[in-house]
Amino acid sequence: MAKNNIVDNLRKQIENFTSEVAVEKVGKVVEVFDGIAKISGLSDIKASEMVTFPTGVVGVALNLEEEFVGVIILGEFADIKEGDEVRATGKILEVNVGDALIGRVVNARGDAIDGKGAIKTTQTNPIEKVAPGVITRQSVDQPVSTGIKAIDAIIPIGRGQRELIIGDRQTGKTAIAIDAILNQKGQNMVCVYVSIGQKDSKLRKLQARLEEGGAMEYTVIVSAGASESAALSYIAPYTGVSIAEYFMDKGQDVLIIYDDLSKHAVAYREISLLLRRPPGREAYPGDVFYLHSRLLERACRRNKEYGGGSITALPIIETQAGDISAYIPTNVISITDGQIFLETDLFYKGIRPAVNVGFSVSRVGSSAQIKAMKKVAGTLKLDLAQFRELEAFAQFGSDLDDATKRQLERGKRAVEVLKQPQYAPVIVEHQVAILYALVKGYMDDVPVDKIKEFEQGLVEYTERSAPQFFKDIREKKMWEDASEEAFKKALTDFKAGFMK
Amino acid sequence: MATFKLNDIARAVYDASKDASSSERAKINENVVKFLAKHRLMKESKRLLEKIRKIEDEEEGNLTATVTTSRELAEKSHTDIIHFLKHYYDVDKVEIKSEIDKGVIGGAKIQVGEDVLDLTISNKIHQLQAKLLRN
Repeated sequence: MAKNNIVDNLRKQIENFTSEVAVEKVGKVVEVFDGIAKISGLSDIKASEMVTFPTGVVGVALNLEEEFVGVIILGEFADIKEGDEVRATGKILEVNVGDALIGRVVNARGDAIDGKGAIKTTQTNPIEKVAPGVITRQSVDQPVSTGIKAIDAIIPIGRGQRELIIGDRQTGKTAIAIDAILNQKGQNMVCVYVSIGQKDSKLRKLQARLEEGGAMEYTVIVSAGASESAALSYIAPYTGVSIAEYFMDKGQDVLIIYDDLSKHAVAYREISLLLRRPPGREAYPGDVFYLHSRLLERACRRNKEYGGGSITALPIIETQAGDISAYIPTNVISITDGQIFLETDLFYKGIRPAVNVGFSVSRVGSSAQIKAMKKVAGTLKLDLAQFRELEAFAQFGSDLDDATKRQLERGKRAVEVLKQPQYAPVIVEHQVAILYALVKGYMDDVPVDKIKEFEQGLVEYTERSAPQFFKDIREKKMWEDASEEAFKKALTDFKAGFMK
Repeated sequence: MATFKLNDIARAVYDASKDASSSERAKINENVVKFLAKHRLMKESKRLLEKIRKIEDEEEGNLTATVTTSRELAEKSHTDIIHFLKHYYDVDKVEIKSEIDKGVIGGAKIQVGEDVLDLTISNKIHQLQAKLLRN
């Protein structure tokens, strides 16, 4: 029976098939090298138009010259020969989009690479699209809760914001991004993780971690691996944002992570040099700024008339020896709405996430912070900056006045509170409770090495004794006077028990 | 050294030669060869000739089409194709270059410059293959 069904279905498909007959434009391959093809003919081709090679591989026209067209080949180019016929498709490069992508791992062309079969979608989106205009936008006013205390309190991120994660290798950049994805569970957010030039083993590990945390239920992974050509690394972020736009157009909120744009810039430099475009600073082509600005401008918050969806972008940039003034980092810093700067020294001091509070900033996120968080975290950044200054100063002498000593002690505890292990996001109500205890001085006489224990106990105890405080924050985004009183009492009781 | 574009050279050669007498043409041709040699463009001569031919066809309303089939083109098909091309491109004269390629299996592929009308069986099979793989 099943056999008959297969045959019947196939027969029906073949019978219903009508081939498309149209006059097509063709050119000839003149040269092929390193994933680039030089084509003669195709005089009417548009920039970024798709072409097909006889092997079925697709290319994209990037250089339109008088005599030739420079095409990047998106796939295997070993079988493409000089003299092969190349057909223009008349279409800008597009990718399949749809709800079926959720939970899947796809390559830069949007094809499944997770071994779970083909992805059935009915819609396609062009990968290059003009960013939404000003009329369709709205200012950022809703928070993205990353679950990381240091970020949610000091460098808050809003829905529709572009926040750069920047730092040297092995400082925990991807860890922050993964924690942010893990914390989106139940927050009505779709996540898109774009991996550019990463090792397949790293990607597999990451996918397994997301699966373990139940995060693949709302996540799409787009991967252009280290073993794939520069052309695929170049288009991967655009593929990712096209997928994200599909969900935004439906009115959903999307969090997209580009890991990382340094490798993306390097891939684009490789393509540009092969296409003989003139090199500029650090051999990058002249339009490397536009490469990232047009990508990141597509992250935005739409107003209600246009669906009210948003794309929050967390691009990652890897610096060399902490040099944030290099070409690509400064470009991306100037494009984004703030940056989270991670430092190797802090990482090895055990301060993890290794966020340098002084260099990190969120330009639009504070208006997205909930009132309760604003109340407790208002002065935290300043306190920490003052602590770092005093800490350096205090090393030279032991005679310090009481106020300075107090500030130093508070600072030490603040640093301890902001430490957080990987894959352990903290929900916003708990963050507020912990920071409340810190800024109101409840932790001042708790030994620094007991802070973590105190934090944990505090949350467990107060959630039981003053549940209204947490409920208020969850529902009204701010506590009521009565629930604050109950929380204070619970805090005092807990501390008394803890200090015994 | 100034760089010359092949399109410009082809246009200049055509404009100079079109109304010239045969003795003038011989002189022009001699000068063109000298010019190409001087500017190291001899290796581009094949492409230059193609471009001049294209300009000539465009200006004089001629059309050259390459028709690829799996076996020799029947007389009726030949006439039908010429009739179709005259109508489609609005030209007076159509020249057909016939090519045999067993790989097309059946049908015909008509190519005029960069335009291709592929009515071959092999193309239909490729399209069907792509459609079946997509679904």
